[in-house]
Amino acid sequence: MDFIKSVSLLILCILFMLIVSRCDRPEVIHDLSDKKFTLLNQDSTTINFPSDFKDDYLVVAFIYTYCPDICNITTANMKNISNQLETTSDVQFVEITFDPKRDTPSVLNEYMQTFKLDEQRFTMLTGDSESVNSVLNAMDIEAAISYRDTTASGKISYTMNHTDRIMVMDTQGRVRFEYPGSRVPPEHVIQDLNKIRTSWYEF
Amino acid sequence: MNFNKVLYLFLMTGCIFAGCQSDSDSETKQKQQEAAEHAFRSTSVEFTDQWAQAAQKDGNSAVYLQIYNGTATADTLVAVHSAVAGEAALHESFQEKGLTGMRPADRLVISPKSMLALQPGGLHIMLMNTKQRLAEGDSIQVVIELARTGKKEVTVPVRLAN
Repeated sequence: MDFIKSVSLLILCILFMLIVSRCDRPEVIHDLSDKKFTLLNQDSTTINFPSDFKDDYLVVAFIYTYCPDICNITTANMKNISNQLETTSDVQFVEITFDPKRDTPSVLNEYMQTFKLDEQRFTMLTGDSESVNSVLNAMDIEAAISYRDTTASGKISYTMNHTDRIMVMDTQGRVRFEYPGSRVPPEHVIQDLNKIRTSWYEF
Repeated sequence: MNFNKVLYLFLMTGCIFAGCQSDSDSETKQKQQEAAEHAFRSTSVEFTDQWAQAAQKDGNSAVYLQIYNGTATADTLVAVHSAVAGEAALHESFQEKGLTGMRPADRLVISPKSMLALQPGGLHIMLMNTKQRLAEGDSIQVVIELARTGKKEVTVPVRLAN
């Protein structure tokens, strides 16, 4: 009888912990688990986002390489998060461009080299305008040309207004956290990422 | 070796490292303070804390610096130039309605004995259509044109944002 009581108590405790953990789990902000966006990476390799990153946690930022101020700060933030993570074997860092017209794979490649982004950890994504706009819409990211000018040399230049965002996605392609990309302290992202890296939060 | 001796050794080691670190931090802060005080004691226009964002060739960079007007008269930042870029202009980053963006900035007046700060996320000099890659460790020349003071050339190191 005592044995049965002990086992029952143990089962109740386990059930209680499961319930509490489900109540505490971060909500799903955007669910891309059944979506496939065909993009190109910095080597012109076709990448299906997010499915090609299945089984990895993703830290995703949105930039365009002709943005010299805020977007570079966001990229620096991504590097800081990457460098400060204790283990990164199950985490990939992705930067998606707002500006596929100018940010071709070769431009993204040069950006990675200029900003010394680790190719083992970082992927930059572009593609045709329709595909890029589809993934931006799915993740509720806005971007639009705001100021256009013709330079003295006759070249058309423009700047863009855009969402300033870094997101954390789980291994099933679901966005669980989002932050102001250029302003979030890296430790906040790391703390939240580590929350979902425990198995309790993966359902 | 008993526990108390181990604890004492650990604490002493910790104090030594803490002291070293605080010495290094103090030294950096002291140098920054000296630079700021020098600028503020000046009776001319001074440029400090300048740096430029790295950029790929044919890309855009941002230059930041502090301009101290130590004179008794207001001056106006009217133009910027750099041989490393096709064009250079004053820009301002902003956050509005949940979006971030950049826009041209007007001529900027610097009052007497005042500092104008061009810094990340705010006012900056935008270098457009860079003629070469600007890599970490490079140095570039930027010409700051003020209405009263005239043109001043500033050496600007290139670095990665942190």
